Amino acid sequence: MGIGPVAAQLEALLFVAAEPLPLPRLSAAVGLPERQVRTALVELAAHLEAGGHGIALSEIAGGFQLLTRPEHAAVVAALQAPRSAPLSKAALETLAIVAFRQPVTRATIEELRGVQSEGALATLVDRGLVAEAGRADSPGRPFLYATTRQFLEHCGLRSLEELASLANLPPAVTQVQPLPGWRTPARGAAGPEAATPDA
Amino acid sequence: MGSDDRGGGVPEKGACQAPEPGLESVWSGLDAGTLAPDDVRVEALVGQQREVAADLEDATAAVVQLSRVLEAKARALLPTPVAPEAEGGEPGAEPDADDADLAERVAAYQAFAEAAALLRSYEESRALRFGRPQPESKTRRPAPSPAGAVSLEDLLTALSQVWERARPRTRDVTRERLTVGQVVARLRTRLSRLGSIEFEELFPSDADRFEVVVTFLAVLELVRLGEARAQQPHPFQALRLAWSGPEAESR
Repeated sequence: MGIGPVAAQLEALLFVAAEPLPLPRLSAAVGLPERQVRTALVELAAHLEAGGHGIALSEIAGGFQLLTRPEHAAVVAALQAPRSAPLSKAALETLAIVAFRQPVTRATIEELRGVQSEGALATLVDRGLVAEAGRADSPGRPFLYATTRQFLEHCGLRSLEELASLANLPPAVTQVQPLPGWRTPARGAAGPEAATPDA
Repeated sequence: MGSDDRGGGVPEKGACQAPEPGLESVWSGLDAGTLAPDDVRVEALVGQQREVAADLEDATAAVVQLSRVLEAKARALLPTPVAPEAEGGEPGAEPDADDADLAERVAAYQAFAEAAALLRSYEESRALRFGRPQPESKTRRPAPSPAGAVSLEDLLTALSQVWERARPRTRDVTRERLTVGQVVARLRTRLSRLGSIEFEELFPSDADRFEVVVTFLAVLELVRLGEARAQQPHPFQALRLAWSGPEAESR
């Protein structure tokens, strides 16, 4: 089954990209409206799905990326080392708190976990999964932390909304109360939610 | 939550030893009321956590969890204090505030532990899908800040533009005329004439730092040549530089 010229162009763009490409960027690259590009992306995804290809089109971190299929992971891993070591339990707990309560101070994280979390937080910041997102208006003006786009990529999520909607978690977790304005990314590559993939 | 069987933490006497439930199962059982606090075998839990704790952070988290189990168990075993009779109400109607606070904190922690387990499943699923590797330079670049959105690289780029525009500053540099040799000769003359000089008097009162450095180097040079020696006649007294060159013995 062949694909149309736009889908083929998008396939070429996604083939060379090392990171998820947002819809507006793809639209600008091929010079077509986003709706038309999305239609072509659906066509491309169906083509890869039906043709028994080793790769698939994934919507991830506010963009689109060609990723290998999970069933070929062992073969690919023999050639390409895993991206990074899995996070420790402490780091994952800290990441979960930041993801669902962002922006959040370290004191809040430690209050919820009951242990010092400086090391876990430093690990997350070092790996680019969490970043400083301003300061709280509380005494001492402590740093606020929020997840980054890299977090979405790391967990294979399209957006934070997807995380909240998919998770069958207690309200204490999903009750996200972000501070006003924290989500406003100033640049395309920055911010936890620079683009909303669902058109 | 974990897949451990709930309520399995109650070992029945005479029955086959059931596998010990994990910490999470214990909390679930306590929360659901299917497990009584005094039936929790803390010792078994400690041994279990010692085996599964992968690193120090895991071990720390386990210690905290275990301490909460102990606290809950202690509360269950200790006699409940009689609450003062409320005005017009029934005695003991008010729940213990500490218990409620503990339960709330545990519930919050458990909720995020579940969230962490969810993230783990996402992480594992994502690890099975590979993309084109990012360039080395990109992977080493620090992650952008959600709030600032200005990286160090951006700042350096902006600085380089300003740098190009900035006018270079030039000024005439005059050669310092004072040399160590000149000061050595001057000190030699003074020392041979006076015999000794207090250390601070070796330096001109209006000397700048350059002259101080040159003079000190000259002092060291004279000591090295054996023409002078530093001395302190009495404890806490000022240091002096004494002449020990030719004709010093005759003084």
